[in-house]
Amino acid sequence: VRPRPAAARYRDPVWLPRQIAALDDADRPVVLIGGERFGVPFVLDALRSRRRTAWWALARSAVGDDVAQGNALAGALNRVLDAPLFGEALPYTTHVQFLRQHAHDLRPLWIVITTERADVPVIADLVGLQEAGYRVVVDWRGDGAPNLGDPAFDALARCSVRGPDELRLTHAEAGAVAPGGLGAERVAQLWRESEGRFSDLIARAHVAAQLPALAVPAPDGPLSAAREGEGVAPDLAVRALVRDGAFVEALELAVLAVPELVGDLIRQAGPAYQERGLTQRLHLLLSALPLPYAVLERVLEWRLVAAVAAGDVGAVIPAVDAHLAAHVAPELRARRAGVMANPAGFAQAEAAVAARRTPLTLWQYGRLHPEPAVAARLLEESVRLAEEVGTAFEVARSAGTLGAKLLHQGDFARARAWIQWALEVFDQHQLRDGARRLVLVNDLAYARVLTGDLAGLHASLADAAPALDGTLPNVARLFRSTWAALELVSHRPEAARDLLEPVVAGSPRGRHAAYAHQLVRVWHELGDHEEAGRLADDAVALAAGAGEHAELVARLARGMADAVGWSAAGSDPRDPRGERAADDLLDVVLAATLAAELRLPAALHYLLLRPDAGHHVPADLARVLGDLHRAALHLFSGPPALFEPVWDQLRAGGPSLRLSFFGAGGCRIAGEVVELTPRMAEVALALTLHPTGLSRDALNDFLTPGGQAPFTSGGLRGLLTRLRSRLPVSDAPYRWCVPFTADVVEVGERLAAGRAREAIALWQGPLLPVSDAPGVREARAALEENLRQAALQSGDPDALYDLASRVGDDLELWEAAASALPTGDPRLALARARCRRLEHEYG
Amino acid sequence: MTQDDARRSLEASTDFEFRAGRVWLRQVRWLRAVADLASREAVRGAIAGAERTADLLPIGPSRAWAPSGGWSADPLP
Repeated sequence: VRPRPAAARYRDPVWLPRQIAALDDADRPVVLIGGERFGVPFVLDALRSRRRTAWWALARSAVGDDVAQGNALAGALNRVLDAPLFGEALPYTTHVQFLRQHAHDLRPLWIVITTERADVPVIADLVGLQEAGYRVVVDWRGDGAPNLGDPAFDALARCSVRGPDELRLTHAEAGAVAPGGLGAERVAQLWRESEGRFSDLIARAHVAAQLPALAVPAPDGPLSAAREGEGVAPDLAVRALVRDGAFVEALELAVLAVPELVGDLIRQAGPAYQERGLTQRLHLLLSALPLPYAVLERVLEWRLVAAVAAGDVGAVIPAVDAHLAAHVAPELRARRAGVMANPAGFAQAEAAVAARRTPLTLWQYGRLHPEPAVAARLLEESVRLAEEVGTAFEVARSAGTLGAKLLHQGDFARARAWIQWALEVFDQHQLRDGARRLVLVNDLAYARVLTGDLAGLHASLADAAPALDGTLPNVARLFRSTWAALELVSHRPEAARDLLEPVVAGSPRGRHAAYAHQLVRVWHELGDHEEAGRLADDAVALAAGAGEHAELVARLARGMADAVGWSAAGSDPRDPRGERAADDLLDVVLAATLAAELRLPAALHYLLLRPDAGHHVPADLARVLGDLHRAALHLFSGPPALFEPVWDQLRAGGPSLRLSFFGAGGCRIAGEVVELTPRMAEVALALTLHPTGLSRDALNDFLTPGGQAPFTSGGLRGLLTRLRSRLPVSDAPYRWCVPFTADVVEVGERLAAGRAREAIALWQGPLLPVSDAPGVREARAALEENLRQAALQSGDPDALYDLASRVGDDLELWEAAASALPTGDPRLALARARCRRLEHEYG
Repeated sequence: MTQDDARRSLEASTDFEFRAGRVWLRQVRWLRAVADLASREAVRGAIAGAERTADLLPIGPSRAWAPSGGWSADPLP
């Protein structure tokens, strides 16, 4: 039975419910054509109060500016979700992709746009969201009715139209909306005079009833009635906007009408534009500023920032240099230093910091300083000073740069701490620069991969990366490369390859080798040394003439490919790849200005070729190598079977039997991979879980499902004999004869020590997932429950979110994650949405 | 981009509307801020005017609040 349309249920003459019901019943996106006069803002306001609705307006100033549109859309979405899930300073396309990706959790949601323009891509992109299950309404405010036959209005032509005829009040409805006491005849007269237009009728009725005019709803707060706007002296208006915190609008108005206020205003407005990614608009505004205001020191500073972001520095550089020739101008000088080639840039930064130590001058000087320890000290001072006298944005910027510098130097643990701090400042202060935040998220993820702290990482990278594809290509490539590193250390090389191949194919020539060397590493893990060699040769060819850095990175790729290819082919001294690799790799090892993430793989591959030439590795790099976490060692090396001797050289000792039972599982002894049948893997797990030994009967019970005949004595003996031919197993009671490590044991140790976060990071999935052996099933269920309880007891938001994401639909975990996540964390909205959905599904 | 080009582009794309040298505002929040600011400035102007008038008198409130002098011992704010 087809349900009766909601519109039909409203037989009472009530205009708003009739309009809302019509929107509810529409099976396509809806375009409302009638604007303010026909009461559309009141309909949308009513919709907003009754349904989850993100309503935003496409400002004229935002046309052609994807970031300004993204900010407005993000603001509306965050308001309705009551969480900062959508960052600012990102193009709207990023948010649209995110909405598509997370439709399952974010629906039901109405998305409403008020616009004068239909020929802009954002309208079509929003209308397209209806296919993803959202409800979309376009509030048309252009001149006249849109010509739906015109190709420029294609997006609206896909909508169901509600125009003046549908929006007009009936006579009976007019009686219901008019203020009481006017009398039926008067209302009828007003209705005729207003021709059924809601706002006209209300305005006339309020005048007649001597009531104040009704404010008109709008996405960002009410407007006074159309006839009650006010002409305000521009200088007073600018000061009022500043009082309201509307620095972005205040600066625009000041440039247009009160340029003498710009010099003072830019101090607050400049950072506001920068934080929101509105540098394109800032560039336009400051380019429109007349003399002498355009060459005020503070204005020049922001003209430079905006011009650099807009890639149009031609006009501003001479003005800045002329000013610097006659003034000390420390902050302007520091900004200028950032866009000069070295060593001139470094000299400018040095002069700036000598003139005045500010968070900005210290940040720039530290950023450019070639001496690692000095650079770190300067950046730490910049953070401290920013905390004392600067803004939260400056704290986050300096802390983030310090973290990146430490990553570059190979001090991964400290890098992680500083980047984490930068991100916390960002979220606590709800800073808006979403693009900068994404870079921090990426850097933190990379630092965590390198320090083996993997809890929650997969979910956060997998959530963010797809939304960036095609919208922020550079950041998207960074995310995918970090994600690939995570997959590689998590023993999923195929996934790493799938992530990196498009990154390498789509990267600019100057960056090609940086991603190619990572993919070479992945091909090695997959055992395809030929493909690794081809890729490395391409990287060298493409890097020719692309600069010294690109050429060196390409030689790293070739050195890695040659070193592994040479070793895998038997280390034949007549094979020329060995010599060439040693040359390539040693040059990278000795290039002190290169990032540690490039020098470390060079050093490890060099040691593979020349085990006795450890003295060639500079002391700073050798220290980093000696302290590397196992995950980083794995990431920067190559196939474990080849690199075990190198690792052993670095580790000097350690158990030789390594077992893995999560996911695909695996086993190595003395670095050699040992293939085990599923049944042997079950026995191996039994021995691992019983280190003091296991009787024949106990082993039989562990292996044989209830109702099946147990192994005969001979059958079990045969199984153990086959296992013994590969691994050292004692006679009964059965146990390993050599020291061993196993992932399941490591998880258990972390759980016992109350380190839930580390345990969850190490847990790669169910224990021997295809096994039906009762001992395996029992161990699998017990481990998962222990992990669950540990996560719940720890209250660690990363651990909870990670486990909840991996387990799936466990309401208790999702509820705990939602309670533990801090207010500023974007995952909070997703966790809450998942709870809502599960509560609904579980009734 | 020349200054003239930028100005033209800005005027064509701004959301601000000007009428007779004044900017037309409808946002209730902004109008409240304007009214609040205007009333504070009016009060400040009135005080400044009163003080200027008082300065012409032999004694007055501004003198009374001086750190020393005839009225300074009084418990004035």
